[in-house]
Amino acid sequence: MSQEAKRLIGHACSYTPTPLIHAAGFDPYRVLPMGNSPDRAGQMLHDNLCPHVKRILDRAMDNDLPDLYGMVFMNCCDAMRRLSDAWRAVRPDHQVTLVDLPVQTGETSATFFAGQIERLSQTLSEWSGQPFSHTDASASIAKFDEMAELLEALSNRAHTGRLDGGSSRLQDLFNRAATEPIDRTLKLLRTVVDEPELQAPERNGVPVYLFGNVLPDPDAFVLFRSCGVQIAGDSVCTGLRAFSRIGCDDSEEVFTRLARGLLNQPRCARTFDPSRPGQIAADVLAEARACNAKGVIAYTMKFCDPYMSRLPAIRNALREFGLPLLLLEGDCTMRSMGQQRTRIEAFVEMLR
Amino acid sequence: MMLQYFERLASRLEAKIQQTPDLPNARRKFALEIAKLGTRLYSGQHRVAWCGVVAPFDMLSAMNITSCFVEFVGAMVASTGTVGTFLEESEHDGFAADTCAYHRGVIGAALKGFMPIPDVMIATTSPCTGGAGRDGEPGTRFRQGAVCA
Repeated sequence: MSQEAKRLIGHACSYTPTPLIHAAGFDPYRVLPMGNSPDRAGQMLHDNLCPHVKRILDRAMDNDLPDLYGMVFMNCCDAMRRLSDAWRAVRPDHQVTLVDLPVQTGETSATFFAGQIERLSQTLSEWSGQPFSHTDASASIAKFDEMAELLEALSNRAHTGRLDGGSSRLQDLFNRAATEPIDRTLKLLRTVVDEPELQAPERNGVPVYLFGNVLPDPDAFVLFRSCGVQIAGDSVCTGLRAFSRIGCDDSEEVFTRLARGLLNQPRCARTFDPSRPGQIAADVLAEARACNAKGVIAYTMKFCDPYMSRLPAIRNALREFGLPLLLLEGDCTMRSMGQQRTRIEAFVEMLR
Repeated sequence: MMLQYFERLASRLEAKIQQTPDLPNARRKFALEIAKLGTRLYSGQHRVAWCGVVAPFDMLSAMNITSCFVEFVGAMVASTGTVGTFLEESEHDGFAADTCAYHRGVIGAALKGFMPIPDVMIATTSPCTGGAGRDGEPGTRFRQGAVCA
């Protein structure tokens, strides 16, 4: 294993404190559910389990990964917890750790999560052999915040039709930001931000708001566009949601700052505020209205309990406001997206 | 209807136990405790918590809160053969058939008005995240303002 390869730590969830991994001397590498690995995860995990998790395990079983030193899993849902178990079995050469993630936002959750992040910092220090430094962590947070700001600027540009290449290029940038070293990514993103904006914005599609969990394939956005969809706003965990700003308020210690920043980022359906448990429906409606969408597309993984339990409320909220909803269930492959083409085209026709 | 059922069940069991006081009547005594729990849950006189299996029932009991282990209710309606109607009800409301049947059964029962109305919901991510999904949003539709913990 080369020194370069040894610097990579894999992760699979938007709640992973990636600046901490960077501060420990590693580069975070998000294992995206992409590639052409054969379906073999069924040997380890049940068929009725999240396809996101199974595609990631397929990559591990097929050795379709860079040489990782280890994996950091977040205990965000049952499927991810099972993935961490399966990973230890299929990749005994990797260091593996599982970090507990509270379901709720709020002060007590942030305190608990800060403790978990501190424990992770100790684990990463053991792995890297270098002591944890608050100064390094703050510097890493600043870099990741800059990346988030650049991606947000590009996201706004794509949503208004002013980014050459549109949403598919934006997704490619998200994927590179999630998998490449931060310094290389920052250099790339600064170059893209400096490109001239399209003077005649591409607005030849119907504005639609997209939300859901995992949709990393840029070809999916090519498909949306070819069906007449213009993504005017989105919230998916392989998009901007994975790159939220943590903030550089040095008055708080770094673990609390990371915990609060990650828990308060735009939410996955697995996280909720106990005082407003149905808030996700109001959030989706507000974001769809804010981007002047004529309709909403939900793209969720099959068998994803958190999203499936929230969808009735989201559907009701959108219906009350008169916004049509198209639900697409996928398995992280373009096979299933291709099958949805007719439904997307019919949805767009209805919105025109 | 549920309250009447549990009250009648409790009174009949007590009468049966009194008829044979010299016998252990273990099964009847167990069923009697279930009937008393059902009576408390549906009486409207007690605070009720919807809980998952690892919620601290003893602590809640000490706080005079009656616990309703909702997955147990899902299993109970399945064992009585009535769950089909409740599963259909929850699916008609938009809950996907691919999700946990325990939770869909309970949600369907709640939509039909068969579940005790909760004052508190205690969701845990152990043994599964489905419980948090159930209490996170669907549960609160049955009692606006219920406390979710």
